[in-house]
Amino acid sequence: MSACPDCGAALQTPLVCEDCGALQHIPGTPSPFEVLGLASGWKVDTAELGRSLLRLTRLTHPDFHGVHGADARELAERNTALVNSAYSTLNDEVLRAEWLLADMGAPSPDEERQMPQQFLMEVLEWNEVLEEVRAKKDQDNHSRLESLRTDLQAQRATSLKQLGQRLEAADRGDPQTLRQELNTVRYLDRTLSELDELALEQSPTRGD
Amino acid sequence: MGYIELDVLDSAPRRIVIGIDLGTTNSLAALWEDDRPVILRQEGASGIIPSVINFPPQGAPIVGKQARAQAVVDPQHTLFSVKRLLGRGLADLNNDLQDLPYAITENENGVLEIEMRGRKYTPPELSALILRATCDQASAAFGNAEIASAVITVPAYFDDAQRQATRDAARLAGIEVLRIVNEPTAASLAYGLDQKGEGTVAIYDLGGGTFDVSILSIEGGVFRVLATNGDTQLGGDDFDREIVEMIREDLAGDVSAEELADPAFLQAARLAAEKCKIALSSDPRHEIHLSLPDIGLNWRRRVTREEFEERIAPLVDRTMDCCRRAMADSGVQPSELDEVVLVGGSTRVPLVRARTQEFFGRPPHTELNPDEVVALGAAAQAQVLMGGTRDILLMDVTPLSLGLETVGGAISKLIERNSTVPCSVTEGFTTYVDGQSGIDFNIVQGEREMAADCRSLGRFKLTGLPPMPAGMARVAVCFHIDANGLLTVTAKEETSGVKAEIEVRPSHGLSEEEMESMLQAGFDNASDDFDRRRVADLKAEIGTMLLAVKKNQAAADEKLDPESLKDLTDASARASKACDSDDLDEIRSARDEFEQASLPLAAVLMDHVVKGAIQGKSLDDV
Repeated sequence: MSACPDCGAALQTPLVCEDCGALQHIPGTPSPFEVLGLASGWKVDTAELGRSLLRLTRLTHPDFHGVHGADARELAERNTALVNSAYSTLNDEVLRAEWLLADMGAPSPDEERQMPQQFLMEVLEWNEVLEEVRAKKDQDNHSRLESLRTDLQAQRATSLKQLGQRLEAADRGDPQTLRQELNTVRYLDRTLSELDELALEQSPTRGD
Repeated sequence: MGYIELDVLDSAPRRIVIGIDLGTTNSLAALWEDDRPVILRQEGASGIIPSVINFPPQGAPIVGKQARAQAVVDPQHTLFSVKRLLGRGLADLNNDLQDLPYAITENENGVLEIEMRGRKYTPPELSALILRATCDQASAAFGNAEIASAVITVPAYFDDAQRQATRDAARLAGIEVLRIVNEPTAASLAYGLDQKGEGTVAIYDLGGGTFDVSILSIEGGVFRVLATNGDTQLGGDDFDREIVEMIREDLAGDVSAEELADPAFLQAARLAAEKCKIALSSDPRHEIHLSLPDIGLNWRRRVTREEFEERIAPLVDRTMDCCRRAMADSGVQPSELDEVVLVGGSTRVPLVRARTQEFFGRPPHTELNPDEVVALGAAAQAQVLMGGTRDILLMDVTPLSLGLETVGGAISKLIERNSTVPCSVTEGFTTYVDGQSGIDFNIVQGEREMAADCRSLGRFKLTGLPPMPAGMARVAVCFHIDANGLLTVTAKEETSGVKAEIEVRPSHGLSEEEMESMLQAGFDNASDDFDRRRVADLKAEIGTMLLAVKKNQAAADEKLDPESLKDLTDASARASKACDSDDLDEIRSARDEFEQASLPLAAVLMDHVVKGAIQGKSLDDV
């Protein structure tokens, strides 16, 4: 762990000295875990994550460095952007998994587009329901949408849990398999947001 | 004035930093003083400046109440709602263009222009006039203090072009912008400070021309925006337009089409519509009366609140769609909200209150003045930025996703909507053809899938790439959104080490050259500016004198002879009234007269001071 060039205190984060408040110049791109001063890995305590975000933002935010000149303001912009990006990466399980996969050299979604075989049958069934909902505008739609949403969310939770268990294990296994499992979650997220749009379009409270 | 200055003036004009709510209908300034934000207003005035500009045949443009008074007399030269034009192109305006009594054109750079008295004005120049007037009044209200810099608010849903245009306006007005802050966020700050509110809050902000909804979490002085949504072309103006339509439909049989399109008729109808809308917030019905002798029109019609609500219901529905999206993005359920705060004059409309209550499942918080809360929040943020306090922290978001157009017109998203700012994202791009020496980029903002359906913020070309096989170039494009919500884009090719140049041409913004020439034109108009400055100074002086007289009213009543007292009372009333005008000569003579009339009081007070001194009292005790 390096020390603050201004006051010599040990730096908990490469962005700013939490002792004297001096913003630090960072060469290169630190990992989101380093930025927020957290241990690298799948498991993240979200309450601790939120506390880190607020504690660091209070130190780095440009609002508090504007009076110290243009250079300080620019550094504050840069370091706060790093805090925000680190937080949004770690706060979202999919982005966190994406980061861990990229870090271990797993293929990107463009390089490996497949999902696990056993998942594909379910996808076909869900698509059928989705098509029905799109085609018809009857009273049953709402309950159909909701039950589909419940199914998808359950599957998403299962897939993420499996992926998390692998990422936590000492031997994470084949990167390609991990990528395929993460593709499943990404697929489910896309479908769930389509459901949201559909629900909004067909909402009964909409005055039309 | 006489010697009263001894008693009241103890220091040179202060340099202050203010918060400005630059509104579609009204503008307002506030200042942080004694641990709280206060509206800057002159004695007895509301502080509100109508965002209206009139261009008289000669002399400088007039802004505010007086400009508004010219609306019916001189409709072709009276501009309303210029905020709706900021950062927009002709194609964006649709409804707004209809029935305007003056022509709006677009220049070759996509910037709108309005010709007034033989000179073309762009929206930033027009907004600059309003900002200048707001600053001048704020300065006058605070003992002629110098406005060092300002926090200016914009609708949260303003895109990059609209924010840039606002910043250009401030620059043209000679105001240093300390920060651009989103209106609902500023409002949440004022609410949080005033009510000591904590928890999850929805801010529903329906102004004259724009709508925003923001969901925030307020905790320990941190105001964190979770999601925002809105519509920058939806507000009370549109409610007025519905009533104008109603009037025109009713008159269609009796009045010719030309007369219905006549500027004087339209302005009169617009003002009557606004009055009707306001009346219907408290009364169940209102009678519109239009009297236009020129076209032989003397017409009355009763409008009920039900009729009005029926016509505006689709507009209110649109705001509810935005609320639904904001709630979905925030991940907060309506039942988890602790408070709903209404902001903006249009939230006085009962239908708006009813629908928000229905949607959020709780009665909205209406204790704050919806017209003032944004300016108050801006002043609080100004205090933070001046280093005055670290107890408050605003964490805001960018309202719209940002990306680059890719092959086939799709979008590669770099920044998602509702990302906390400041934020930076870098993404790699490459060449498609062997030996390609440049790449064209189109920066787009919006939520639609195809670039053509989003707003193009600007294009830039990365040139000077060395010859390489297709796919070998590694171009890193970095988007940075700063704490103002403003975007900067940089790009460089990483393998060659060759520094490539980028040139961003704003789609509906002023170029640096245009800004320069406008600033130059500003210097050329320096004599007008000097007159305005003088008017502002005189008003400030009158303000100080009025305060002094008020403070010493008891002494005046007791010690002055009846004739002097009457002179003083009359002169102060006249001076106070003269402050409503912007006529230099009128104000100057009113001030001189006031000074003369105040001399007897000054003499009485001086006498008192001298006696006090003889008796060993200090000045402060007198």
